[in-house]
Amino acid sequence: MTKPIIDPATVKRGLGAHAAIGLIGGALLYIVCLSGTLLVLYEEWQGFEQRGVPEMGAISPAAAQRAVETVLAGETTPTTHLYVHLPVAELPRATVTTDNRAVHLNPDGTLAMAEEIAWSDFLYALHYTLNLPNVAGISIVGALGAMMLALAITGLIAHPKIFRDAFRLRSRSTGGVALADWHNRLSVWTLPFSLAIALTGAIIGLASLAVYGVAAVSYDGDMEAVYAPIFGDEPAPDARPGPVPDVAAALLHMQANYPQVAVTYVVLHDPGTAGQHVQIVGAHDRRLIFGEYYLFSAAGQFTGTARLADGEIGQQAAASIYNLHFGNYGGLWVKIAYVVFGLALTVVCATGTYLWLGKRRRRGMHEPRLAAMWDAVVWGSPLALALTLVARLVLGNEAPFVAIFWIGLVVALAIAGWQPHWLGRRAGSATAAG
Amino acid sequence: MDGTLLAGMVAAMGGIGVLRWSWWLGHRSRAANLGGWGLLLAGCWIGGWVAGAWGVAVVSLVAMALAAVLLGWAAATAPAARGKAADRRNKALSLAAEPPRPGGRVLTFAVVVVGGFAAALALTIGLRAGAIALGWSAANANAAALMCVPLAWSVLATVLLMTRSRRAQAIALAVCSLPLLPALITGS
Repeated sequence: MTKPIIDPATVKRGLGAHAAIGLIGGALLYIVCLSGTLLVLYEEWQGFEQRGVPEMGAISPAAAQRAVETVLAGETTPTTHLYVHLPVAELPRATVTTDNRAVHLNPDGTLAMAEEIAWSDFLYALHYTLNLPNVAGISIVGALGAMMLALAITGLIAHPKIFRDAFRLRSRSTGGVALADWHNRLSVWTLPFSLAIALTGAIIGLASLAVYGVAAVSYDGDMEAVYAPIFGDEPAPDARPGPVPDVAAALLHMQANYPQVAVTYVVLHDPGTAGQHVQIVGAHDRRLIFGEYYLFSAAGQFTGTARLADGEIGQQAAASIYNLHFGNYGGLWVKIAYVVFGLALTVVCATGTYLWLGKRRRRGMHEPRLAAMWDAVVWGSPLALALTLVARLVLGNEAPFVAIFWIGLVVALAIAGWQPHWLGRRAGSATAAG
Repeated sequence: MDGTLLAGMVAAMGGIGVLRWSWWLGHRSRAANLGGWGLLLAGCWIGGWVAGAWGVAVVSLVAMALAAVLLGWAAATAPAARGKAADRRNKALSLAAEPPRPGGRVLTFAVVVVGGFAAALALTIGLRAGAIALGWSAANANAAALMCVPLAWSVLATVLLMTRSRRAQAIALAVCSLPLLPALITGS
């Protein structure tokens, strides 16, 4: 008899830990996976949500300068930052965003119309913060990422044969076998993807708390000082009035000196003040980094880069986290792969709880109410999301997406708990897990 | 597309194909398994050699995509169930026999989520200070700290949930938190 790779007691404890983490994360993890899968197509959703926006392959430096001047002149309250989104393949639009508004541009740099992408932004906030206040929400989502990592570890401990059976899929079996096989096979074959997504998501989500801790011990509480060695530091602010920054000069410098770099954003810090400076974000081909920061004075004089592309390994790794998480590094095919694997991960989340419910049922613990409520999460979440999209199309940009989604989900849960038989759940009936 | 990168993708796809064939055999073939995993690793290495982390990521996606296709094929060609399956009993989880212990579960939640995170953060701060002491740049040490927190927490959560006693949990948390002390003393 061959000796098991992991002793049965450890497997049992691993399975217990796996179930416990899955149940703690449960519904929220499912919603984060589902919304993340949809958010891979963030740029495409924006294009779908607001059609009729002027589109262009590129915008000239002079037109970008004109737009910056026009927007700054029209600001009722001074903005601390101004972003010019330059046309890229996924979203061939030029848009200026300040603290107060966002407007699309015509190719000549005149203002075309207000940006109306509230649904895409709702989806973004759902995935990033579960629509909760910023630091609390993003930290909870980060914690879910860490728990997803722990689920991968405990899943491997609990299933010592998971690699040996990696292609065994008894999809037509009953008694929970098919569901267990789907759960285990999708888990094992998306493992590199899941680990990458979970780790990068957890890093993004827990960064605020991690930086707070490091800053408290090592930087006298200065959180910006923790980020500065990685992403570069900000010059000291100087609130005295200053001229409109020369964005055109900076863009011309990029064209002349970095023709291979795809410029994606112009960022103005403290525009209109003496302390203002210009950052240009340039994407590098065949790199995971989101881009390099090219730094300019307000007069458009190049002062250097943040060295995200060629600096310390820690800088390059930190700059790669976002793209690795969202699949923004290889065009449409990589995005499609991320959507497919993201869906697989969402199915793994859903089936995990069904398996747990099925095991309890087989031990005589019939819980139709609980099973119906899990049905409500699994089917209610995409339905509530679809409802928000319908609201966007019918009611427009101002529709209350957060309320529609969360109230819709709570109502679905309440109905499932109150009348589980409406969802086909009866005492003693089979759960989806068989 | 770059020919070398394409070779990496082909090697990784070959690795998946060999593993599929290996698992299809009635017996375990160490040579076939090694060959499959070796090709997969070689594909990723080629991707990394040609295009760094980007290359590894793209080659991995291609391998996973082929595996997904093979998995879909396995699902489509699986034989139909021969009748009602036996009501399987998994003895691994003895939930029915367990008392509810709501207080104990709340405490476990607190130990894993609050205690585990605090200990992971303490470990991170300690390791960052150690890295600085070893001559790492602030950029590398701080970036490593950002990555260490979730990694340490997930491993610690696993250990805490698999540990049998509260005492062992307390020891695990304490051991993880120890590296914070020198950092606090030196302030680095």
